[in-house]
Amino acid sequence: MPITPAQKCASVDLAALTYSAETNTANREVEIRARLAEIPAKANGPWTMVWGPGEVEGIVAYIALCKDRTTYAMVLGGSAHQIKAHEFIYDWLLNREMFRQVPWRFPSGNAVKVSAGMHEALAYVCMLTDRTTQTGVLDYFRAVVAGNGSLHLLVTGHGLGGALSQLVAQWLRYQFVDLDEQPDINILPLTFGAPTIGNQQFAMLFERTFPTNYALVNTLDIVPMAWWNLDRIQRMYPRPSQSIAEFGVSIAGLLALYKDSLAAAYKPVIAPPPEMFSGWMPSQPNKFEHTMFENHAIATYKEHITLAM
Amino acid sequence: MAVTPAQKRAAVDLAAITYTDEVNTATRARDIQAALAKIPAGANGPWTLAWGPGEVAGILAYVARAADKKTYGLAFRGTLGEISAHDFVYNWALNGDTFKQVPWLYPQGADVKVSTGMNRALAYAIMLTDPTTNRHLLDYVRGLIRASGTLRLLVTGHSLGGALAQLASQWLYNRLVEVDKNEEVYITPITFAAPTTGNQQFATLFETTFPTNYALVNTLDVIPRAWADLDGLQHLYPSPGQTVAEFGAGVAALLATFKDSLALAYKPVTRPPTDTFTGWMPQHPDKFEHTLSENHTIAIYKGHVVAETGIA
Repeated sequence: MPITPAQKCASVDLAALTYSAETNTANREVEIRARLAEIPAKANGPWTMVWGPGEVEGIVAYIALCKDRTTYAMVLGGSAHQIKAHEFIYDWLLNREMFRQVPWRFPSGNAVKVSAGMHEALAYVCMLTDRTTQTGVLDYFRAVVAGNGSLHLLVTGHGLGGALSQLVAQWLRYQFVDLDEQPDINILPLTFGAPTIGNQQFAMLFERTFPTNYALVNTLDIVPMAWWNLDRIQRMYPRPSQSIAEFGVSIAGLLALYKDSLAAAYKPVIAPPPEMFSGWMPSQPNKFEHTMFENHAIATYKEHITLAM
Repeated sequence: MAVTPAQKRAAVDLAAITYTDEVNTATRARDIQAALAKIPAGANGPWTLAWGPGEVAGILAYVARAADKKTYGLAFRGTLGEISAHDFVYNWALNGDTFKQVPWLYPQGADVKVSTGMNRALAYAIMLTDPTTNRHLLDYVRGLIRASGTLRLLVTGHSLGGALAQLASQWLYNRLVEVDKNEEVYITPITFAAPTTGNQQFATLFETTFPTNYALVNTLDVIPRAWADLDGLQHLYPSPGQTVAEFGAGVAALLATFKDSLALAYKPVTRPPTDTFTGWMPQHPDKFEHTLSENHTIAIYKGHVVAETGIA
């Protein structure tokens, strides 16, 4: 069963809300609730927050329930602020967590591996609790399954939150379907501008587990090219002034140095193929950083979804 | 109810056994099982491996069951490679994780904070799975409670494993008692050479939750002085040859720079008072590093427990 337009539309709105009140966390819950209430009927809105928001070490998550109360959404944000693609490259290229992959345990075996950094992010999701009820993510969904006999769940996020959505979807499905053998579990991962997180074996596991999944990629966004296609990042925007070398000689050097080894270690999910669109290319030469930032912004992804509808 | 001699004696063996086959992971489960079978009857042995060993990112834990079939032990390993105190001081003094504390989640609120590094270690502990059943630790322990209606659990570890044992005890208590509302759950934290993990509010929370807990510290071990008493660490061994400054001018400078701010941020658990003993001080001046490594080993802690309890 393919992903519906309403699911895509809801997911991009839900993913955007992880960036609510990033610095003023006291207002975050109120703001997310208010904006969930504004999600339109065509996206099965208004939505209601039923768990969270929780945050550990910059990993933000919340769970929402749609208007007709049939579908839950687990929404993940992967960085403390709507990370600029610029910082993304800097932080990650200089972070050894990308160069190290660790064994995947949900299920274990078959040489499935994911990046150590994303694996750590998943550990924080396992740790999160709701402020009021003190319930963890797994226990929250267990109560839903116990009450309803079923779980229909979208798992979504943008950027690093999108990558984390893939891991969380795989982890949750393993708990409910493989271990608990629940018959009526329907989990759909939807990602926007998500980088690649694991090796070929992970990509194949994910494709097998989720024959219905959805990834939206702006072909002018560098983030989804990490880490399997740094070669393309090098040539994404034209000269003058927008090439990676003009942006930063040291970054260009790092990309050239690591692109082959990272391309061997990281393989994207390709079944079903990601949905592609071409974002924003300035008519006049612009700064690399600006072009990059605009193309990764969730607003650009949302605009595509809105137009497609 | 105080911690019994048999519990202390069992805990020091359970903690030591976490270091089994650090490198050769293929034989680890089998060798841990064999070592557990040798724990003496006076320490409620032989014990058997019941869950794990699970390992993620260097964090290793297992659950074992005692001969009485009613008592369980959860043991955490310290840093990979039974780290020398030397590496510990270097790694941690230069690691930003010590200087940043994050809000504690179990339960949330009340300004309780723990070090970023130990919080990460706990996140990995929560994520751990049994290599055969692939079940998370919490789900395994809940299964024990479902089966018998009760749980008696020693939670133990040496060094960083001891610090993690404190956090994991508080986490399990919050999940099993405060959230799940189980009544017959008895968790006893027993630590050896554990550094301090959190602020005053964490220490108070831990003391309130676990009026029965046990911590053993060698007064000549530098690790338990982190991070609340770096001042004491500076003067632990005499000159010549054994002072921190002679060990490394850089380390001494770091200690001097950070000792006051860290002493404000980290406060030890003091109720019941920590049990102490005096380890090994060489008759002739020795190298700081040697004195320090010898005094931190689990073997020196076990030697004290065996002598004190009279359980061989």
